[in-house]
Amino acid sequence: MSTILIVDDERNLLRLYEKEFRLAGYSVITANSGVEALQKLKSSPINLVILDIRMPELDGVETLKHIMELPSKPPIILNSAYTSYKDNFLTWAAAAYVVKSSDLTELKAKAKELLEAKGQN
Amino acid sequence: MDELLEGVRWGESLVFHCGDWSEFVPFVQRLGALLEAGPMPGCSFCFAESQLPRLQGLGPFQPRAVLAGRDLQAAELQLSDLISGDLPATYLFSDLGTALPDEGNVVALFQFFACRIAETESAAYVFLQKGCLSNAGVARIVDASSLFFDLWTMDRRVLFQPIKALGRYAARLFMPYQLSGDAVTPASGLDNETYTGELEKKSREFLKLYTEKRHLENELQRKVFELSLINGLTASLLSTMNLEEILYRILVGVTAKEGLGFNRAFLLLVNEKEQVLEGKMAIGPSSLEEAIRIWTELSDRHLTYHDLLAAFDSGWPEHDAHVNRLVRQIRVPLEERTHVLIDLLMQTQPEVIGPGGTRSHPQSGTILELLGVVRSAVAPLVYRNRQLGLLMADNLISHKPISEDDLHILETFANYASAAIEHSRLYEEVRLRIKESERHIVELEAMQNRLMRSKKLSDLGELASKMAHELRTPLVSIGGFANGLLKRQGPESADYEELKIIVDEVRRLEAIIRNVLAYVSPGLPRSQPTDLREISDKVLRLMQGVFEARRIEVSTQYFNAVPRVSVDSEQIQLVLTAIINNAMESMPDGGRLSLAIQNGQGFVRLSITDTGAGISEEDLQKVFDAFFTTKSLGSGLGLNIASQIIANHKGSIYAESQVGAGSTFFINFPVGPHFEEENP
Repeated sequence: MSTILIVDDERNLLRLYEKEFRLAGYSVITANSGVEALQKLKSSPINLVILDIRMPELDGVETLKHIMELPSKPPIILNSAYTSYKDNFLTWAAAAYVVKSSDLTELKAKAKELLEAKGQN
Repeated sequence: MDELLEGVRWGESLVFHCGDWSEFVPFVQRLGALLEAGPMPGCSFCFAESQLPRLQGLGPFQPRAVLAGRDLQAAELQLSDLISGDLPATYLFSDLGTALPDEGNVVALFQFFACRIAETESAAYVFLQKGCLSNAGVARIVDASSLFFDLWTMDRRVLFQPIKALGRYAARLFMPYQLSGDAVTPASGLDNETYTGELEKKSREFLKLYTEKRHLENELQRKVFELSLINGLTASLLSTMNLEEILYRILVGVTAKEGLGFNRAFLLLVNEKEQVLEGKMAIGPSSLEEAIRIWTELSDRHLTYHDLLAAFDSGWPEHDAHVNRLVRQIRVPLEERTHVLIDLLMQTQPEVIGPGGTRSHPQSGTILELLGVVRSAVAPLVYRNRQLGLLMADNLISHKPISEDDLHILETFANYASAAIEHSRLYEEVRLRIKESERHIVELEAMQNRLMRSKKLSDLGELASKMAHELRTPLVSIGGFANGLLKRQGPESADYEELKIIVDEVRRLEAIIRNVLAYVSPGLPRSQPTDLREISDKVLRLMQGVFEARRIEVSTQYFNAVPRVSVDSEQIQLVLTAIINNAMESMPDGGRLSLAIQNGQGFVRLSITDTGAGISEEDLQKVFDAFFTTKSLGSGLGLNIASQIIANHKGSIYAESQVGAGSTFFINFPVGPHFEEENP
């Protein structure tokens, strides 16, 4: 079973994503901040990261940079209320960029796609 | 003698005090010869019928009436009748002394007579026989007359002695002479010869001084006239700054009877831009008949110089149309230095062109022929060494020769006219500059306003953007949980409908947020080769719930062999959502929505057709404007954002509609050369 790390400072969102992805058949780990996410990445095997951008202290773009330096380098989906970060080249290292929406179809589809692609490798 | 007779001004009466009529005759004959050469009529009268034959055959002096009355009042009435014409004339009266028996009446009659002559500005020559009046009577006539000559004969020569001139008794200076009874007695102590010689000498001296003084006086009078004329005309020129009006006033000044009195006048001005001298404006009759008609009209209506000027305000006098047509035919390049007009333009003095002119110019004939005149006076308009143009004047109708005096006054007037023209031009230039500055100020203000407005809009945009982003996250929670509950509980659940409402409303809010954000900062498209069918399907899928709720039947028609296009799929989703939302608004009771994608020449066309109310032709022009909406709800931004996004994709968007039948929106996406390959 693939493990997805969901990183967001909004607890309600973490709860929603955790529930939806569990129901979709994934193992879910959540993190409240970039720092916590990095800690969890070091302690557990993670197949995919869903990463918010606007967070206090270590924001998503910084966190992304640190994740890319890890040996495991799991694929990352940036998930933000802002579309404008797309224009920031630092975000281009992410495997996908999905704007936050109450319709999780796209996010789920992207996650599935990336995990399947990884499984094939 | 000629000098004396010519020197007499209008309004004067000359009395010749003679011992005999024969002494008077040489003067009369000479006077007659002078009058016949000039334009003035001459009339003669005598005071006793018996004297009438004497006057016959004396040049232009035709005896016309005889004073027969014996009382003063009747005599005055008769005299008044005789000198009643409006026009000045030269009168010859004989035998003043024998007119009335009473010396007092004779003197009174003469005084009355001299007044009438002065009033009518005529000239009178009066024969007064010596011995008819007493010394006191003669002295009173001397007082009332303008000039009094005492004539007497010596050795068959007529000697004349001016007794009075210019209001002074010249005689008192040198005439030791007495009048007594019939005889003229030289003063005692002088013999006849000495007296005669002395008298002749003094008389000549006097005449010389007298005529010189007269010339000076005439010159002075002319100058005064000229100055007051120029003063009046200049004042009129300075009273306006409008160039056209100044030109008109110049021409009126040259042609008005109260002005320079030419028949016609033409103005030619230098066009600096095109480097030509061109005819601008003219005044004057085109023919004798017209001249007579105008002059009659003027005198009938008693039009003055100022009335003529006022005519400018009431439009062009039609009778000047001919001369204006003539003058506008004149157009000479400044570089044609040999051309008569350009040559004259470079002069500082006025000239007469035509026969008898100052110099001969080869082409002057052509100009004169065009203007239809033999001679023309031409004055250059020069201001501070800058050639402004030419002022031309002629006497087409009266054929009056153009004198040195005419030229001189034309020159003086031309100088003032030049100043007025130049001032008007400078004024106009300054006025334009001021206007331009004002325009700049208005532009600056508008720019400032735009800046402030755009600053306000950008502040507002920032706020909207912040709010939209902040709203997005809680909406994800609300909508996401509701969506999960909806899916898991299924349609059988008692709460299904309510949950669906939450889901739909959240999606609607999210769509609004997307629109606002796209409007505030649409961003440049991050384009990737995309199959439009995928975007279309996705949008339709997302909106499926809404279609069902609104009873919208959706169909798609995707033609084969449509290439991929380079688009930002998220932005194109916004575009399609906006158009579809718009279409649904026009179908409140349900309808059909069809999407088609087909290939065009160098583009892929996506069209969305509805069966709604349609858009009027007027609204169709504004449908892509920001904040244009016919809906009670809705931001009026959707289609505006759509058109901006399509423009950023270098595509085009347009709509066709028929009221009552529905609308179709077309979007053409350009196909790049590397996207030409067909979709699998």
